[in-house]
Amino acid sequence: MAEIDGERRSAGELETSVLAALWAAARPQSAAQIREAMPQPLARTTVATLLARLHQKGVIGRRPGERGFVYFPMDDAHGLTARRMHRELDQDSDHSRVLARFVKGLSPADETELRRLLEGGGQ
Amino acid sequence: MIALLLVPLILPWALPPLARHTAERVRPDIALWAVTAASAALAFGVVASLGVLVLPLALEIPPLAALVDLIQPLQAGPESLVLGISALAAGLVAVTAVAATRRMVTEMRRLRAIHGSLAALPDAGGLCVVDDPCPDAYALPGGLRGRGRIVVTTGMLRALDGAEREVLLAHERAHLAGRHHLFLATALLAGQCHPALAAVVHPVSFAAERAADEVAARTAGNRTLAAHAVGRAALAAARKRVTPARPAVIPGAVTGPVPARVRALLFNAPTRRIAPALLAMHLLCAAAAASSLAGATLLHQGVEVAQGEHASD
Repeated sequence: MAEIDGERRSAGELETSVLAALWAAARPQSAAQIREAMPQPLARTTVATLLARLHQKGVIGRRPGERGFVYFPMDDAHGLTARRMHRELDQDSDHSRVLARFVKGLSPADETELRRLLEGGGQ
Repeated sequence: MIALLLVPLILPWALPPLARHTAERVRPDIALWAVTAASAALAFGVVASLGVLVLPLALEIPPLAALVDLIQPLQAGPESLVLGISALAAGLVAVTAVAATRRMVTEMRRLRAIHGSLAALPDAGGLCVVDDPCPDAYALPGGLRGRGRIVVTTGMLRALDGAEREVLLAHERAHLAGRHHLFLATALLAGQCHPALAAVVHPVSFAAERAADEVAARTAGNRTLAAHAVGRAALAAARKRVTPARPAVIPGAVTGPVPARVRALLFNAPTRRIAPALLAMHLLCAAAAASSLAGATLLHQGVEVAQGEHASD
């Protein structure tokens, strides 16, 4: 198997990426589609292994598609988790501060500044 | 000696501006350690000083005085002033202890509740995806047992493209690997000990985010990509969230932490290991330590005099 950059990373991280890509897609995806959606270059066999492992763990489901299986993330019961999580997180206005959240609230000034930065960014 | 013990209670007011400077100019991982450590040290100084200040009042109580074998009243200065300050210190210690305990219990309970609500979700490589259109992502620390998890909503995953998703995952992994929640918890606890230290929670949180951003940018090998991921995630989250009415946009208004993070990723990576603000923080901690130690030593001498160990000439 060719040693591509992506494959040197731990299997756990790659599984995470596959799951994220699968959730980001609105519809069930074939292995080939997932491979395309992944930013890191992966061998076809690697993607197949990752999908099989995720399926074994019960994290994703699969059903026969037009050509081979299509994969979809396993949902929990009707967004129950989301509702529970929101209840815990939104208990007070400043949220739990021990949680490092990726992005916190933006003020209107923040939004304007961000748009400016992203549009002119990289120059 | 009372005056010396009051110095550690005043010094924390100097920390917030220094912490802000450090968080902005020093390499974020170093800034995170330095600011958190300074905040913790000053909080320790505050608690130690208050503890020593409680002594004169406590030693007025005959059983306690007998316990340490005082044969005469402790002479620490003008009696009414000393006892007044001492009583005030006792009150502050009690309030602080109650507030800090309550805060920590609340935080722990909330983390446990979030763990509980996510328990039903499948977990792959530490990632939990919550089916929720509201973009959100955070690193959920694992506690003593169990690993930490990355929690991301589908709203967030769909707001980003493949490469940006990797930046997000790398960012959250960096939080978990760096155990950033311990820094935040330390800063929060210190903030409970002194109002000025409460203002240091924000620089600590900013330094933690910046440190994770830098790791993510390194992992992605592309700072612009990392900047875009942070910026687009923030904008997506802002669009979906119902924000309370705010005053109209003032051009040049002070912008919050997210634009600062994006700017740092795009334009300037702080690489300084040492900055004047960092040194000043060290000095501050040293001053607090020296004055509380000197005050405690003097008071200890007073106690020894009251125990009749030295001739009080």
